[in-house]
Amino acid sequence: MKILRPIFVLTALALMAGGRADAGAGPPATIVANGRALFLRNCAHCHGADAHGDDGPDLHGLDLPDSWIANRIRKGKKGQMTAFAGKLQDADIEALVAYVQSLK
Amino acid sequence: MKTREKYIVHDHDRDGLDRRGFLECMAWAGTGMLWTVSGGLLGSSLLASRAGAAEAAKGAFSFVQISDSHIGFNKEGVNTDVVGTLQEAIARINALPEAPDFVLHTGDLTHLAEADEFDTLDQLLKSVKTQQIFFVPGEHDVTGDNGKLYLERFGKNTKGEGWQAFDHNGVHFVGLVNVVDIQQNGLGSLGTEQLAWLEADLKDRSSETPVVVFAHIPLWSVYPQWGWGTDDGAQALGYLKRFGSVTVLNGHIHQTMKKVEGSVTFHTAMSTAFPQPEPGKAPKPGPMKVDAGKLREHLGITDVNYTEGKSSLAIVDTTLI
Repeated sequence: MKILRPIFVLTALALMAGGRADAGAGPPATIVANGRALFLRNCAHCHGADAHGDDGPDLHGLDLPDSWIANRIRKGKKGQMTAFAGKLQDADIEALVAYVQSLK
Repeated sequence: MKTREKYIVHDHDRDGLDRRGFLECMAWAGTGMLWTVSGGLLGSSLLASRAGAAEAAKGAFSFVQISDSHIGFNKEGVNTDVVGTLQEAIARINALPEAPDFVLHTGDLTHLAEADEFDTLDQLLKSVKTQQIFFVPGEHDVTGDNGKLYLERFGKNTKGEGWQAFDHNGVHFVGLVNVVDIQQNGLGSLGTEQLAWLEADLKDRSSETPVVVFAHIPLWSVYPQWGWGTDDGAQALGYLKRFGSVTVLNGHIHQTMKKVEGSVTFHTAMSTAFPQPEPGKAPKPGPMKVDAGKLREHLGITDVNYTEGKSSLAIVDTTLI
């Protein structure tokens, strides 16, 4: 049990982080898929359905940490991007981050 | 009172009656121009005045469509005063020879779906001289909360995500919402629940009833590569096929476009905030920069006139300049 406990903790941490590559593995496909669905509803009209940009910027190949992207989603950008804090749940924002980070 | 000849009307048919030609005509005719559809064909005509025509026609009425006001948008080189340009559009409405019976706003009231943006729009529209304003949301109005804020303010007497139907002087109006569930290809969608509601709403109506459908994203396939169409729009149009006069009014693409298919006339309106490029004439859609002095040539309102007994509605686009 002493050996298994750290593994359990690491797995839980990885899941809490949305399963990002930071933890050594890509996020679960279901989270990315959920992020894609949320993206279409909330972001595609500015970033394009293919996320290659429209009014908003192209989101492919961002070299930014999860925390930065999550923060931008929560706080938005005055006059340019909706602040999603209070509108989307934390899990939704994590899924969006996972989807954006999956765009290469 | 200003008359229509003070304004500029688009030449959808490229029939020689462009801005310059129109103004030249105005110099001797002192008239207004109406776009009409008869026997499925689009045509234009000059009338002594719409007011005179309306007086002569029993059951005639008019309404105005405005669209894509994007309150909250602010981009240098495009438009840094969308409140101001909406106010100019309102002034155009209030200067019409006859006050419209009502106004349709075909979505993207706001840019970011923020409460203060909705409130600003609400306040601005209080100055419109008309009896009522009907709304459908654009995708910018439902961002983040699936339209909760929008519905709280503008969804009174609507169903689902804001669908609605009403009758006015024998014309049946249907407002549809195709912006909540954007598809993988970027197209809008109505969804099975709304389509079932639409089918039931139209089912028992006489095919002689003129129908006006309004929604944000075009129901017809304008340019799917940019998501300018509705994935299941054809199903909705199937329910409308048996009607002798159908007018479909949309926004979203920030430019006038017209198409006639049988008894159905499709029309998209200008924005009151900023233009977008013509389909395929830019790498991607989005706010289009134009010379500051020319912005108002791309913004405007749409005035629609109905005359009882005629199989068509007359549609007039007016820019802000």
